[in-house]
Amino acid sequence: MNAEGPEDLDDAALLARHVAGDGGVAFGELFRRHRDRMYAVALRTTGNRELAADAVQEAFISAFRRAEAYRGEAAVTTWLHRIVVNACLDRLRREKVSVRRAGDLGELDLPDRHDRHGSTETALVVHEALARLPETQRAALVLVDMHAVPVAEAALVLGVAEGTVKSRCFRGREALAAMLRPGGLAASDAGEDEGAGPAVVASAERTEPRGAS
Amino acid sequence: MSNRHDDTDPIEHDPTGMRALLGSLPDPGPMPADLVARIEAALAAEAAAEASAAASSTPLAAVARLDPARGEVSSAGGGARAAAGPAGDADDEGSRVVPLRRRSRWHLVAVAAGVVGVLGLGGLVVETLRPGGLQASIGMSAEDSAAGGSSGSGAEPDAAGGGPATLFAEDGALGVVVLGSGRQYSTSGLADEVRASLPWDGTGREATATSSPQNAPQSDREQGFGPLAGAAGARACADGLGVPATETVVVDLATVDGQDAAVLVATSSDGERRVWAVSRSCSATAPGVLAGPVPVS
Repeated sequence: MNAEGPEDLDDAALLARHVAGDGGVAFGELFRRHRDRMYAVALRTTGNRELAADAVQEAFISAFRRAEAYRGEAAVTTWLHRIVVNACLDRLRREKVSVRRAGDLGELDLPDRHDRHGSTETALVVHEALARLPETQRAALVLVDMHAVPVAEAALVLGVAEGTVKSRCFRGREALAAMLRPGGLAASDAGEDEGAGPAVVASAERTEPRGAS
Repeated sequence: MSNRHDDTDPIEHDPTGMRALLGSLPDPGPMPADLVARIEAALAAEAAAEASAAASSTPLAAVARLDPARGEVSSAGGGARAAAGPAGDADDEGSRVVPLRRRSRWHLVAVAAGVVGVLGLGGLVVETLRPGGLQASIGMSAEDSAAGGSSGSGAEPDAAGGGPATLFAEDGALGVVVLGSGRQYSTSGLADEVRASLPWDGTGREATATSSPQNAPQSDREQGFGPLAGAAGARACADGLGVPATETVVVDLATVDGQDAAVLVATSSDGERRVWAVSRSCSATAPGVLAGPVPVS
């Protein structure tokens, strides 16, 4: 009998056991371990609970089916992050128009019961601004600044060079700061009303510098 | 307005202060229980599809495939783990999901499927979802049954003309699924036995299954197994146990301590599960509790 239960195995061993075929037991343990973090990344990347839920389900099913594609060159969590982020970006692209509208405050319910009093309003404003960033910059900021993922790992997750990750973070921060200045979001709204899109976002979408993949 | 930077700057270099601000935002919290149940059900379907493919036997084997265009579940055969495609590409047809805003009926299936998973039926098969109800057929091999601590005889469903595991009834409106696994439970170990049957709960149990949906006429089923073999009877039993109507109920017609009995699992909308062992005569007025309620974590 195998004395080691799934809970005793590390992520790579679990994935190997899943690839060998164990009826979903090992993958279920992976799901249990990482579901909350992956959900948080998806929620912050999409800014929308429904999209996040759909994306994270899609991602876990994809990971279940394609575990053979994991070659052990990066941590399992990096591999999972990549699948989740790709699923989120894919969904955002598919529903870009509706998601732009979902940037409205009413749809952005990210702050929850974990919030305390005044921090809720701040979080809502920041999330609204975050939702207006280009998706690639938002994904970089979510990983690096919100989830403390190292740049090198974020580069693997996003499939770009490290310099590109840093550039996206720097530009994303600048764009966020501009939107969070007094009147920044309103100016962004005015730009949208004129049909030209938020000026600050347009600025943020400038061509990425060297290192972009 | 732009702050100068280049790629040689450390990522921590942030004159804007946005990095600190983003890092200070509250965590969104854990994955909601209903989403956990929904994904667990989808993964159970995947595992069942693989087991079915491995068995490569029954043409009835089918696995839930989610059709976002129709907002419902449809059948598709096979489903073994695909080796093709990049790991990061999650755009294949089979991995699509039902958008939450259109998932009310799917949600019920997912909750029920999660409970079915708890009942040890690793071979969950969810077939076409029809308006007004859910269709779920459950398969479990004799090996699977034995792994859960029973002899794996599957005698009772066989006696009813069914396979190793049989779907007796389902009613989406009532939120009830009734099946017969042939499993042998014990009152002393009920929670552990139910918990151990969940394919991914860390027990190390390998879930293998094939699908063999059987649907004998209800009158025949009830003649052999009593009112619990019907959805209305199962819901009445749940009422007798004090289970709110909002909770999904799965009844497994099995044996408990060697006697004909049933195991009833109720799942709340929060994903909390309780299990009872009851007599086959369980009703709204005389539930005949043998054990429970016991929480299943």
